Amino acid sequence: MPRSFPIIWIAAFLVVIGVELFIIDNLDPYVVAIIIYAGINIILASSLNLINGFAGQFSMGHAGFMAVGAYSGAVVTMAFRDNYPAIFNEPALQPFVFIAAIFAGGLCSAAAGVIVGLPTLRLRGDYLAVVTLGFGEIIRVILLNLESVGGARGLTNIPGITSFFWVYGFVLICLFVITRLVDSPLGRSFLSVREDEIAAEAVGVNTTRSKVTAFALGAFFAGMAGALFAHYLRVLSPAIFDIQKSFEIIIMVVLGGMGSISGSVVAAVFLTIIREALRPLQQITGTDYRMVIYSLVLIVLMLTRPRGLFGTKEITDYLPERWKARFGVRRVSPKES
Amino acid sequence: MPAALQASDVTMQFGGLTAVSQLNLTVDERSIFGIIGPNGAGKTTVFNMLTGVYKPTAGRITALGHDLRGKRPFEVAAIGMTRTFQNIRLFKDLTVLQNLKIALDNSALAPKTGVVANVFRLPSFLRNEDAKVEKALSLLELVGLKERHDYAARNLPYGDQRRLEIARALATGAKILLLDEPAAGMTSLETEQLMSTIRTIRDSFGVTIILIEHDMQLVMELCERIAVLDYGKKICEGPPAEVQCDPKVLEAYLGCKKEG
Repeated sequence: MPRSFPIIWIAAFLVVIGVELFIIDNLDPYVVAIIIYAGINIILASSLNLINGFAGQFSMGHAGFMAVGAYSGAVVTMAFRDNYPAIFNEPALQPFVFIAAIFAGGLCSAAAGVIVGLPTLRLRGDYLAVVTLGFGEIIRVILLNLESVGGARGLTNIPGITSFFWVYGFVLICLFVITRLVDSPLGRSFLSVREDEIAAEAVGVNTTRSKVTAFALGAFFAGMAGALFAHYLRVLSPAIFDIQKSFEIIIMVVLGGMGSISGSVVAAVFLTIIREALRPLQQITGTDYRMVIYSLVLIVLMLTRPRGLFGTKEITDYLPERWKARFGVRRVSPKES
Repeated sequence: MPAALQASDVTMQFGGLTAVSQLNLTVDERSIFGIIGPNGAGKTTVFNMLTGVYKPTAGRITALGHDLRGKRPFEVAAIGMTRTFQNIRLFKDLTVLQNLKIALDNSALAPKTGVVANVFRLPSFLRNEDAKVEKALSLLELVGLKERHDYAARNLPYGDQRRLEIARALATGAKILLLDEPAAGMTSLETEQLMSTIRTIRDSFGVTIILIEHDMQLVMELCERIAVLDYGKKICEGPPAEVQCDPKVLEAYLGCKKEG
């Protein structure tokens, strides 16, 4: 078997199919909902990590990209349903319409990423954060005033196509592409921009292109996550994609570790579950302490692990040496002297 | 010998301040050229103009047959001219090897592969990556850092960081290497080693080297020609022996007025 053969990924995909076929129908719908939201959050967190963690561009507008993807994806499927019902209602063809809608969401969002990326390239750190925050708000306000997508009432009656299989299928695609890009010339150019932009230019990295690409890629996957989200929730309203949502995603990235995809995955799952897991507490105490505990957990974690759960390491870094070669781990993490 | 680098009447003004004024430089291919001068003479400004960090207010720079007008630093690097920095600029949290790989990714020394090949790790990508590692290790051997290739750059001792920066500059496939105070902060033994490394680089890679340095022993022993800057103007140029005795140079450095 060639050492590049993605055996782990294929195995993971088979697991996803297996779960969809044999397990998911037996689970409580509430549990399924949490699993699906966890998957969507994994895509959101790892795509934001590409921008914030790897390319070092602190973006606070990820909910904006998600919104663009959600609305444009939903518009595509709804247009198909209303104009070509024959194609849309054909079970063999519907998945293709759905895939097209998700990609449409991703591409629209990537276009938004380029539009935000280009003018903000001269900005760094806090200034960039403020501008991207503004961008997220602009998207929300535009949607709020766009009557063709329902305005403040929101977009309703979106076909509910998203299932466990779709979400985790796209989680795998997203993680596959991101983890492999990170360990390629493009990913290294992101890292060089994060580490030292002037040095990166001096050794031949086109930092403008790297930054725009990072924004476009991150936005692309966020758009896909948005489209999956839209077809699960079946109603969209601009209020969903507020600053709060952007911050939720940022917290996942920071908690997991800026520059660690494994960290984003773990943090996304952990934070999605903990909010629901704390619900019984509310019944016992009679008061909603959930956000208090949620915040305390975050504070304690950041105090004990200031660089996030994983820092810049990946789960594969902890594998024994002989396993690394077998699993095609190419990445080397720096040795401490 | 043909000129690797030529600057004609290059001027750099920051508002009312003229940092460099009507500078003319011609550097021969495969030579080691020194730029010296008191602090604030404009030496680093010259490097910044040569590499496209600053756009000269006036004048023209050509390197390796290319006009550098309007070129950004990464384009200058692609032409074959790269620099090191006075205050070392490494990719600190990355490994020594990754530092070199980033340079190799953008260099003519290694072929480029497409995004699809990279994501699916096609044989072309893997071959290319292996070739980059091999190339990087051979460059690290040259500067004596091969054993430390998996250290984070920030964990290297100061002298090693300077050497790594030189190796990284070479990894871009540069034909002209601009070294900004390569010996700063080095012990005399380290400086000694550095000089032999610089000579090796020139001889085995056919690289033209331009360096800014305050260590006079290094400059005088290593450089074939030296230009002296003072207040943004070139006050003297020639072989080391000539420059050392030039009264204008003595005045610039020691500030004494010649009598008579």
